[in-house]
Amino acid sequence: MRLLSIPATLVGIAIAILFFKVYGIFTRPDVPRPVAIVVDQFAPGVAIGAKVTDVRHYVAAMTYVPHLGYVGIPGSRGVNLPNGYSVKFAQVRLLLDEATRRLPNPNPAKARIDAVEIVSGEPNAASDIGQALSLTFRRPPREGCMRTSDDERLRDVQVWATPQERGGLALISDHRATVADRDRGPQMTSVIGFVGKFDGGRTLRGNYTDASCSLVQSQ
Amino acid sequence: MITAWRLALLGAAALGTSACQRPPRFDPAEAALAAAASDSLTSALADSIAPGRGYLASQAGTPVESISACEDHVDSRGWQSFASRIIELELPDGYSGTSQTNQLARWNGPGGWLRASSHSGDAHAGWSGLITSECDVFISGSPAHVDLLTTGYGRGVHVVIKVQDAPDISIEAQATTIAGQAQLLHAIRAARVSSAWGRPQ
Repeated sequence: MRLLSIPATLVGIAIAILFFKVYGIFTRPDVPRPVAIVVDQFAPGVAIGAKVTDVRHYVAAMTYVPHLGYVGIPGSRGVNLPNGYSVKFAQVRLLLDEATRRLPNPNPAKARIDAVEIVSGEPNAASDIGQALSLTFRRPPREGCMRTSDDERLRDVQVWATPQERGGLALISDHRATVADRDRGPQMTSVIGFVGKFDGGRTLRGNYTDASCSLVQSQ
Repeated sequence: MITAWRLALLGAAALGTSACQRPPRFDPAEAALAAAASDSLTSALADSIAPGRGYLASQAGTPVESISACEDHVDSRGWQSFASRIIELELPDGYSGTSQTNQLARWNGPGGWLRASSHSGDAHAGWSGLITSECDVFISGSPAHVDLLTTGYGRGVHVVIKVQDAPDISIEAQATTIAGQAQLLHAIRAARVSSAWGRPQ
């Protein structure tokens, strides 16, 4: 009788494995279409939710940065904004979730991309991308500010979320209020594509506040 | 078959439990490290593209009043390389090594000095001076905290590097001028942790 129970056990294990595989497929967070399209336009071949290994051919010189994720150089298709405009991106960051990014050497074959950040140093990037995102989402963004480790350097944040808050895009650029600010160096602009409800600094991987940078500066 | 049903039921129970689980708790320390890593990367990228946009600032020109611990625009062409069991770095002309042990390395120059040693405790402990600027960066792939100071000697730089699987490293440097301070800051930010550090001799 004991011998007969072995196949039944194996069948039971197989059913359990199958059950969790199907559960995984159905519960995987899907990426809102506008977010997926913008991420793919700015970093061709990169997708939120994909495994790092799956996108490795689309990101050059990829290295792992502990507590953040994988960093490299994105590809380019030329025109990536409406009306034939384009912004050149210098870096793409495949941001990992909190548990994975703690690991000193996560396995790229298992690590899923939690969010994507694409960075540009072009002077008009913030305004060009801001206009494009306003056209895409057809609504004004939520505005905030990010403090940096340099007390004098603040970064403007604009967030567009999808109607059901299934995800969104954040546009982050150096806050430049004075001539001295503009002389400090190139204006850096980031676009972060994320899935799920916007959760301030947790989503942006930074010290975020809901007040605008002009207000923060005046305080 | 009864066993199979039992396992399936166990699986369903586990699924029900996992569905009720809360999302992972927010860890402020981990969030701060993520913010520091992100900020450090953005600063490094801005530094790397700055020369192409005409933003290169030369410390050999007119002296500036103060510098930021996050900025690093010094031209290190022609500097000399030095190695120790703690760090490897490049220093301006005129610097030479003095005491070198497993736990301490020191270099002296015409306008300042730099010392690397093992560190324990808080980043702001074990030295004195007025902090003028702070920044969290990555040095040799490890998270590091940088403090710029004004001291009785002149201008100081204090850095603690948190090396994985090895003791933390403290680097203290002093210069008589702000230009010298900027050079020592650059030397530390571009330093590499020695492969011998933290390993038995």
